[in-house]
Amino acid sequence: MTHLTGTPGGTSANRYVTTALDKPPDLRGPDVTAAFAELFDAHARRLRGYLAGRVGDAAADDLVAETFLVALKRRHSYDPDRAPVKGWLYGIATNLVREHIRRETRGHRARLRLVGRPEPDHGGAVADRVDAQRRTEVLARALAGLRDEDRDALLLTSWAGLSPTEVAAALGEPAGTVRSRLHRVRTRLQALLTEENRDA
Amino acid sequence: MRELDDALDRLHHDVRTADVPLDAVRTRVLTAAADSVTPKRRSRARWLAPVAVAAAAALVTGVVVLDNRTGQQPPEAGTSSDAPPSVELLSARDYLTRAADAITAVDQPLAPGQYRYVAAHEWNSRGVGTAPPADRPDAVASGYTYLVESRTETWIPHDVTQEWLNRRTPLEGAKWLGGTVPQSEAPVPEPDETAKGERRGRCGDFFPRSQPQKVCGDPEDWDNPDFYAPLPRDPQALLGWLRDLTANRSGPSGTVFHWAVQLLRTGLVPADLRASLYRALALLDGVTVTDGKANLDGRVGVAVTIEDVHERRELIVDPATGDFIGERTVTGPQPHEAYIEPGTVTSLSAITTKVVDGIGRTG
Repeated sequence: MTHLTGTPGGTSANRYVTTALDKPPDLRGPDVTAAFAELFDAHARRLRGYLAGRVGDAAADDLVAETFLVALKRRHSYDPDRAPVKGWLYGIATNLVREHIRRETRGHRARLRLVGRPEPDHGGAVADRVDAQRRTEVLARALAGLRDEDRDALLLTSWAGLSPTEVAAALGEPAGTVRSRLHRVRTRLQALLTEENRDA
Repeated sequence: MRELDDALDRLHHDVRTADVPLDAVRTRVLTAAADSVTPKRRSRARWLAPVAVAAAAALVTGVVVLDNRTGQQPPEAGTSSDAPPSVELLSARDYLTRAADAITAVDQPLAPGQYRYVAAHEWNSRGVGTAPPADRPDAVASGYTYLVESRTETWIPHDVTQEWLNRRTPLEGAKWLGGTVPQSEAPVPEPDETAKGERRGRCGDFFPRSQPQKVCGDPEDWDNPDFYAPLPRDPQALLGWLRDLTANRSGPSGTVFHWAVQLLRTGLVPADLRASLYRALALLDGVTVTDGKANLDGRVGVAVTIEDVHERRELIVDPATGDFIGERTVTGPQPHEAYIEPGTVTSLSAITTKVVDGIGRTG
């Protein structure tokens, strides 16, 4: 699987990848440029992947830039003791995504993207591929129908590789709430896909 | 959960894993980081009164416009990439003009015995705090803040010199917004005496002992419908009147915005003047418009917005009817209270106005 790390695929406690990159640079220190260079180099690539999944390739670069520009403006209010920097950064990005989708939805573009056909798949036997593609379409539609906070929690863990604690920091909620929300939404979506399998 | 994780993995897989060069984005971020070290003008005072808060909005009009144009967070004020604001101001004007145009009906007249009923369902910030010392306005304030829920209802008679009714009801809702002390040490503030109970009074005089005393029929009293009759309906002239009204207060755009909202909240602004008010607001620098904003009771409308680094203030209008249906305030990148997160809703309301058949009745 060429997927970025962090997809919750197992049940072990360490299925969420945490790296040394989570050690935050001193955002409130005097050398702002160096701190943001470090922050950018540590997180921009992964963040771009997450944002491209959320809003599409065309808008991803701008949202990456805006995420860091907002972080720059808010660096004084960032408290490393209270939230991991990754959660804080993805919280900013997630707010920008919501704002972006709200605006785009007015033009129906984002909604179409969420429910539209996913990219063609290039591997596996034909029958498997068709099944997988159908499940992906079902998932895309289901995602479009989720509440923002459910969708954000799911995709922050799955696509961005955040731990529930980091998601909690990103969404400003207790970690317990995030865990139970993730459990609930994953169970529901899995049931939907299983049902789709049976009907296929 | 294998199917789910596989499907998640496949969804938009190519764009998520594309190896796109990020050099240009990196340069943009680091240039902004380098620029941010340059000292910036800081606000000289901590805004305490709503009027002053609204007034501060006028300081960053360029940022507001950019925010609406790009659909993103605004860049640092003063960056050289600012586009000419005319496009979005036109858009804001277009929206507001549309809302204004929607007001085609005249207000439903009151028959004798009927009342105009104005209800405000609100969440407002309440708490305790210590303002920073006067010589250190940028110091972090201490204290804590809750968002508390309340309802205020007013019944206005056909003949305003007759008895009005005002009912203030603190509701159960209380949400912790933050503080310099743990929530466990911060009791929810009790509503004060003026925030609860029923009061009656002619001409809307619910506090007869307050000074200066309210004079029934005073043409300068906003609770008197006669106040609105002579006001200009031409948007430019109305804006001029609002500017004169607020001339002694700093920050013309934000203050005008605030006063326009206060007028609308009375529920007494006649339909034709409401339309003119929206058109006048559209002429203000820095006002932007976003649709699809919900008020507290879920009624969706167009938000007319003015903002600064501390907060964003929205007036929500139903574009179909031109009704003023609520307000919302959200903290900006530098909230007044440093312990409140940027992007936090610090007030939210739903305003309902209708005609009812008796004092104290709601239907």
